[in-house]
Amino acid sequence: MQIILPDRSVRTLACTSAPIEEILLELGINPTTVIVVKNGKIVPEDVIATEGDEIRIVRFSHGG
Amino acid sequence: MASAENRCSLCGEPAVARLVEPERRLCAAHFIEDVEARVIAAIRRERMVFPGDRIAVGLSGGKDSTALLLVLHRLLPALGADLVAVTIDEGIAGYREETLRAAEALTAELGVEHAIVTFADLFGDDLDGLLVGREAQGCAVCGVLRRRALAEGVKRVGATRLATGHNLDDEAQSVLMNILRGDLPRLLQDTSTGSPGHFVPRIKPLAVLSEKEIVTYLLLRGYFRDLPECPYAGTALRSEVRTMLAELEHRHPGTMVRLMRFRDGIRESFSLPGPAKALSTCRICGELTSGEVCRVCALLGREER
Repeated sequence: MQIILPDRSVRTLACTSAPIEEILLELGINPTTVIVVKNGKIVPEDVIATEGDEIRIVRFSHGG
Repeated sequence: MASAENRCSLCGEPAVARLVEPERRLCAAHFIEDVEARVIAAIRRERMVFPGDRIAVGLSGGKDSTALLLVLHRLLPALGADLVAVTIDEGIAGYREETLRAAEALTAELGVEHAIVTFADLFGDDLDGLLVGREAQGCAVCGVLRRRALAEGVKRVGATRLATGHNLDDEAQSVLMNILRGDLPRLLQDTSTGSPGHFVPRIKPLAVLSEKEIVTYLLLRGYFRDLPECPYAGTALRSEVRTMLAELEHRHPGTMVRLMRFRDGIRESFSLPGPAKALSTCRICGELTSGEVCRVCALLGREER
């Protein structure tokens, strides 16, 4: 699966299936500070990502 | 815990969010409904708006105030209140231009009256100019001047209340910061009633929504923009508290809501014998102050003429 990080860099993960929350924590990202978009749709972090999925992580900065 | 079935609790469509208290999953349409219902419930419960009110939204053009304008634009007609936007242009190079354009585009699209107040106009220079040699105090200086500028904007548009985009994260962080600083008066301070003749009441309709919920709402409605962060943003303490609270919220969902309940409980049960200091008018500019000279005049080094 492909992970698009908040800085727009792309990382490919070898695992076949994992809850997105675990992937975020593995990447050192607190799930309460980001929004996850799986294959173009916003999803809760406890959804499972599988091989072939594209996961985009949107970080929101403070201020506003 | 992973979810095998990510479906909206109300209609069975794919869910975009999982919320707690009560535990529920919501699709895009029901999430938007839920957010707006919680805001209008808070407005009614805390009597933030009355028929005939003219509500000025402090619109920076950033995410929170954008969401606030969008939500109030939908909700206020049912409450019999009018909506207007006030933007403060502090004059922060590389930051304010883009958010100002976003604010202008949004108000034009929604057909909301929009007033812009500039620091240069009110204080004789923009923030960048006023901060030369004391850049580290950026947030503190801007905070004081921006409050005055917002009050001026509210006067100019004839609003009866000022609505700001403070969210649950902001409010919970402030509660914890006041505790860590041992600042009980500030913890108890309530600006929602205003001061007749001086300050209009300030309301925070989005304080029931987390920052994450606000961004989700904006993404779903197609209004999320990745705008630059203010170069002067954040004190060291707030930044540390934000990280700490985000960790706690992740491991113990509902922490921020419980902090707000704690603050409300303290406010209800703790009554100060009276204002710590009697308010008077600043001898230089005539605005309300607790001393002889207000903080704006002191920061700007204004002298009596």
